Formats: sequence, C-alpha cells, structure tokens
Amino acid sequence: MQNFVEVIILDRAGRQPDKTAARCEGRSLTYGELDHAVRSMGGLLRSRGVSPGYTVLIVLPDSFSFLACTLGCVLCGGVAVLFGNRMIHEDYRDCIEATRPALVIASPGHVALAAAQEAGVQHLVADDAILAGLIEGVPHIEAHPARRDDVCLMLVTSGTTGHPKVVPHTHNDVFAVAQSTGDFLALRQDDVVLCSAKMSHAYGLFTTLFLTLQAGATAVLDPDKPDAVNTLRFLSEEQVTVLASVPALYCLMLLAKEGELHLEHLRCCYSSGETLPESVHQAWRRATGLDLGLGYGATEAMTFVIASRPGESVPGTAGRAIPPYEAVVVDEYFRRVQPGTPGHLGLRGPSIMRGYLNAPEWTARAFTPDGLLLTGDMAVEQDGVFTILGRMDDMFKVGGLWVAPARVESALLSHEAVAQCAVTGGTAGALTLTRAHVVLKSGRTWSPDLERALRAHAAQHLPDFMVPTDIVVTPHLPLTASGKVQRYKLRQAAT
Amino acid sequence: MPVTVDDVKKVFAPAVPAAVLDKMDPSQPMVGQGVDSLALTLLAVVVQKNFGVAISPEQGLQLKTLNDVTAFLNAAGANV
Repeated sequence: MQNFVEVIILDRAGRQPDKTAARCEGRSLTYGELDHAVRSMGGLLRSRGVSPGYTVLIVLPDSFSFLACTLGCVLCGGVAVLFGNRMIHEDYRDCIEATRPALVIASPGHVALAAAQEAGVQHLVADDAILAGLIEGVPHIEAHPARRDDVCLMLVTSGTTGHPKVVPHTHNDVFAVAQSTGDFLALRQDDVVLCSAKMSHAYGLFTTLFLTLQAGATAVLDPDKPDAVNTLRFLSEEQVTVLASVPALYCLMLLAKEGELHLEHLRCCYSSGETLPESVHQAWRRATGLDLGLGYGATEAMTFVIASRPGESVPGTAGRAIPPYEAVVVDEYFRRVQPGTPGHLGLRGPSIMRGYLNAPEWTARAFTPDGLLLTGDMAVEQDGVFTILGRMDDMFKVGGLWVAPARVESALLSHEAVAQCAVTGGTAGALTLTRAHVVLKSGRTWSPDLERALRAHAAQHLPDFMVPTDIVVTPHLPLTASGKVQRYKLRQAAT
Repeated sequence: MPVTVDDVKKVFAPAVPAAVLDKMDPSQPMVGQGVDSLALTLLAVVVQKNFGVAISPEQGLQLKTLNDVTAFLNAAGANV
C-alpha cells in the first residue's frame, strides 16, 4: 500500500480511534471520526466524477472539512490542488485554468465558487456545519492503490511575474517529508500542535496534516486569518505544546501583551516563512523563556530543508541541512563555492518536485543541469551552517507570504494617476511591509485623498497582504540603460 | 509643542477605521484592540513620515500602546 493517506493517516486512526485528532473553534474530531469522514468523502468525490489522476481544487479554511476533502481526495486517487482562501477572483480563475480540476470545493459564498461556475467546472460547497450531512450515507471506500511516484497533491507558489506556479508532489514526497522532518521535529503523541501557516501552504501542510497526524497528536485548526490575540488565546485554552509560526506573528504576540507571556504548556516553538529578526528572537526569549527553532524550506521541497532546533541556532544563521537533504551554495556556473563565499543556494533531496506543472521554461530555470533546485536565495555556508543573505531576484515576503513586485506594480499602474511604479519590500520596526515607489502623471499632486484612493484601488486588485503599506512619491525611478527599474537601488535608498 | 495621544490618533486615521480608533484605550496594547499587522506597519510608516522619527526593530517591540508611542515621540523630540 503506497497511498500516504492509508499508510500515514488512517493506519494511525485505526490504532487510536478515540484520541482527539483535531480541534477547531471549540469542536473536537477524533481519529475515528476523521477516518469516517475521509473514507466517506473519498466515496462522495468518486461519485462526483473524481477518477484516479483527476485534480480537485480545494479552497477551504483550516477546518475538519479541509482534512476530509484533502485526504478523501487523495484516498480515492484524485490529486488535491491546495490553494489559499484569501486570494481574489482572478487568482482562482488562473488556478482553475492551470490545473483543470474536475471539481472545485470551497466554503459557502466563496469567490472560488463563482470562478468555478464561470469556467464551467462543477463545484461542491463544504463547511464544517454541513460536513456530516454531505457524507451521510456515503459508503466508505478503500484507498486507491497509488504508486509511490503518483502525483497526489499540488501546491501553488508565486512566480516573479505574480502568476502562480503549480508544484506537484507525489506520495513518495509525502513519505520522505514524514520521515525526515518527522524525525527532526520529533512530535509526541501527547503534543497539541498549532501552526499559524494554513494547510494550503507547505509549512502548514507538513506540520499540521502530515506530522501531527502521523504522530497521533492533536492539531489545533484556526479557520480565520492568523491573528496574534487569537493565537495567544489558543495557546492557553487548547494547551498547545508545539507552536510553529512566522516572525510577524511572534512580533505581534509580543506587542499584544505587557510583560511576560506565561505559556505554561508550550514546550517548543519554531519560526519559518521569512527571516527572523534577531530583535524578535531575543524579545521572545525574554518574554517566554523559550528559544525559537528555525526552519527554512520551499514549496518546491514541501518541507524544511535547513533548520535548527530551539537552543541550537546561532544568531543570524538558519541552521544545518536536515538529513538526507543537501544544501549547496553555487556560483553563476553552478559550481559549489568555497565555504564562507556567498552564492546561490541550491537544494537536493527526496521530496523535491520534478518540475512545475505545464511550465517547462520555469522548470528549466529552477534546476541546474545536474538537478540541483535553485531557491532564488543568496546564502553563505560555514562549517555546515547556512546564513540566508537575501533574494537573487526582487521577490520578497510579508508576514511569511510571497509578494511579486511585478504584480503589485501592475495593479498600481492601472490607476490613472500613476505614470511609473516600482515595488520593494521594506521594514518598519520589526515588521516587513510592501513599499510602492510611485511617479505621478504630470498635473497630478500628492495628497492624503490620493494616497487613500491608490490604496483602495490596490485593494480591489490584490489580495490584502500585497496592498502597499508605504507609498513613496518620487519624481523619477532609477533605471538601467535599457529602461528596466533598478529595484535594488530603491531598497538601498530606503535603508 | 508636545505630541499628544490625539495627535497620534489623527495620524493613524488612514490605517485604522474611525470606529476602532475612537474606542481605543491608549493604555492598553493596540494589537488587542483591532490593530492587525498591516495596520501596525502602516502606523510605523506614518509615524516615521509625519514625525520624522525612525523606529528601530528593538524600539518597535516596545511600542505596544498609544501612550507608548506618544511617550516615544516626545522623548525623541518630535514636533506636531
């Protein structure tokens, strides 16, 4: 049996049916109930036309429904395409076009349903309130006899143009992550795990869905947008023992309370998604008595490849490669550089994708001739310890989520007051932000009203986390001889 | 002239809905009163722009309440 749902999830479920697998908004789901929901949903999806190899686009908040639909899809032989539920209509339209799903599953009233309807793709409305009703009377199915290298999941990551790149992963990739990251994180059966990243992102997927359920532990699921106050409440109410979060949220949790944070149940916390500022790391240690473990990974690998456990990290560094993964710093000819020399960070390992879906050019650019995955990050290695130095391109992250400058620029350029625009990442205090440098059309003057109008315009065309928080008006942008914007000069000028 | 809590609130207006701003208790952390990370970064940006005072990461982690921000600005000699 090589279907990961059967081997990792349902096997565990069979051994401890009465243990709580997940908690969501004060409700509990036991492993036995999870087994029932997954096997029935698998049957429902099969009856709705999901045949082996068919894709299903799943756009759901972290919830019992997410587990049932994703695992049920893979159980019946389908391919679960996981995409965040905070995107906009055109993103879902593009994703449907790219992945050609047999079915789109989303929450009641979600914009993805309208996108499905427009594309002529059938849809299924799913929600924890109606889940029991949906699967009532549906006979359980047995696992589809998948082969290890069958694609079973697809994740979506942002490309430099802002258009999504779809990353297919196989059962084998899941087994590899479950083993290597499983050994590294060493979750225990009595752990209660909360990950701020949603399960539609690799970080949330492997932490919450693969590793927590593999360990027979309890996952705390939060359907809402990550929020510091809610997170602190979950930590105490759900008695969370392991927290996996992002720097922005650690920063906000520190700002949410005066004095020390008494998180008695928490034994271990990790930060990933973007660089952790040393100020935040130290402040967290002072406020909680806990050191932060670090993880660096990529959607293309579906896990942490470089990491350090709490108490082991050297300030400013990301950690060491997790066996059996390999991290290599290479020069422009893809040759390994001497230790201590900066270069392009490449990764090798058992869960790395074979290539992007239907994107041969992007795929060719992502790998070296001998199969090293290029991360797009610059790094330096010394004695096996890696330091991430920044991007090779102009992509950046805000709150752990990718922002493609080209996409934000395009949104602002469509406003009639904007002549030119360049977008960079920036910082304010300990937080990261999106900064737009704007040249106004002649005759237009900058004012608070225009600033509000530009932001509102951006908000209509972009997911909320991509809307610029800082808009800087400038008479001209630094350009190369061929007219390309030199975003790096804008970044340098801002610091 | 010293900076007051109301001066800081005025500057926050583009980032935080008026209803939230009016109810904010200046002695309680902003994050617990309807201010999310996007609003917080916008606050830091407008404070830097309007009062000409830069906020370091370490300082940023100390500015939890509106009173903290006001005191910080006055200590930095900011002008309204």
